[in-house]
Amino acid sequence: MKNNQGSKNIKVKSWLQFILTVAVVIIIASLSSLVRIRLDLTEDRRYTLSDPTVKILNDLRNDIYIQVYLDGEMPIPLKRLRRSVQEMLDEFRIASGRRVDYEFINPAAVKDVKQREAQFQILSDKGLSPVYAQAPDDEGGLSTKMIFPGMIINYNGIEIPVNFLKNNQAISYEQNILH
Amino acid sequence: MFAIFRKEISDFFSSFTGYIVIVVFLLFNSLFMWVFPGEWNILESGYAGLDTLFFLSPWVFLFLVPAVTMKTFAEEKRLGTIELIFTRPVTEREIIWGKYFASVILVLLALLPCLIYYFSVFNLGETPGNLDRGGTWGAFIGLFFLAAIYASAGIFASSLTDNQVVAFIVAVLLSFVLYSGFDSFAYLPGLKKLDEFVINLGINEHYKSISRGVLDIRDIAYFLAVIVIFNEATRLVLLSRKWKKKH
Repeated sequence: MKNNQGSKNIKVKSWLQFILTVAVVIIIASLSSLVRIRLDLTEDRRYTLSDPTVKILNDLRNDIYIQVYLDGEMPIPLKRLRRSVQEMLDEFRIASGRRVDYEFINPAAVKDVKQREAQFQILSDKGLSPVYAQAPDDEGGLSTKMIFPGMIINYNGIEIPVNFLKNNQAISYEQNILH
Repeated sequence: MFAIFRKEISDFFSSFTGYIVIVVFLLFNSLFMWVFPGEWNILESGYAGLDTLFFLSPWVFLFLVPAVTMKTFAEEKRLGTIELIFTRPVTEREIIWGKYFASVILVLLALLPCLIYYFSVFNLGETPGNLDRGGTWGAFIGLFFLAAIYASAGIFASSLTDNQVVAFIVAVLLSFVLYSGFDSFAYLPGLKKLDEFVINLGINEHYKSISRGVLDIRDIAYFLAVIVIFNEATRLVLLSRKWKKKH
């Protein structure tokens, strides 16, 4: 009887140890995403901000406000693009001493079709070119969506459109090196 | 730990296992990269890059690493020699990590000769040295971490059973799910909202990220975390022997 209880204790103890260690490991791993330590091995330092960029960002006198129209439901490659854009903007933000602020906007969030069309029209008038992507919708079917992979930079009251993708015939997502 | 590590290494090379793993890995990659005509052939592709190696290797390792690790605990359990180790003054963790590092070193030994590919392509380019050095080194490091995860999953599978074949199959399945399974899960309709999170659970996303040539702390933390979790799970399995005995 006593032996049985002893082995039960060991069972509980080893499970507890296991769960604790796993929890600690997961917490450490997710904490590591908060610090941004990265070693860029590429020769042209493709993924690191260059000195001139840092200098420009440092010398900013007024705030920059960036609206990125890449949000909402979209295919995974575009989500990946969204994330790399966000990471880059985060780095801009840090380098500029919080002079750069940004916002992700989903232009298709408006349910009303007419308003949405109007919104799309405004965006293309501003100089953003849309791409068409097949995305699974809520009903389980495929629908073609209009996505604007681009952003509008507001600085000193001037608006500058920037498109992330260069050629729009087919969506060549793999153009992440555009910055 | 070091004694177990040494014993495992000498096991690999006193039997054929070690040599076969290294030879098969190199033979397979070399044939596809340099000899067989087709889309994998580097000379035909016209680009000075090692993409073939970094695309094929995860799949080759998928079968080779479990072949290395399937023996670790399953064989010892079958022969009963595991009991001998348990009577020694070593903790379960030391046993696991000793065996683990031995398997990883073997994988590393298979990977090292691939540097010959690197120098060949480096010098064969029309402009010698015209090779994405950062990306290539990053991919080598990524490949090593990937195999290191396979090894920890393989050792875990091996600890579950005393049958090596079962250990092998379970290990291949585990590694496959880790490598590309999560990418596919992300496309399930029910997981639509979480797809980015699910993809990040898989090896592929982090492997690709490192292959760009950027060593990001997040990717390395992911690899290390998965390895530690699997080895801890193995420890749990080993400890379970103590609570299963009913007197």
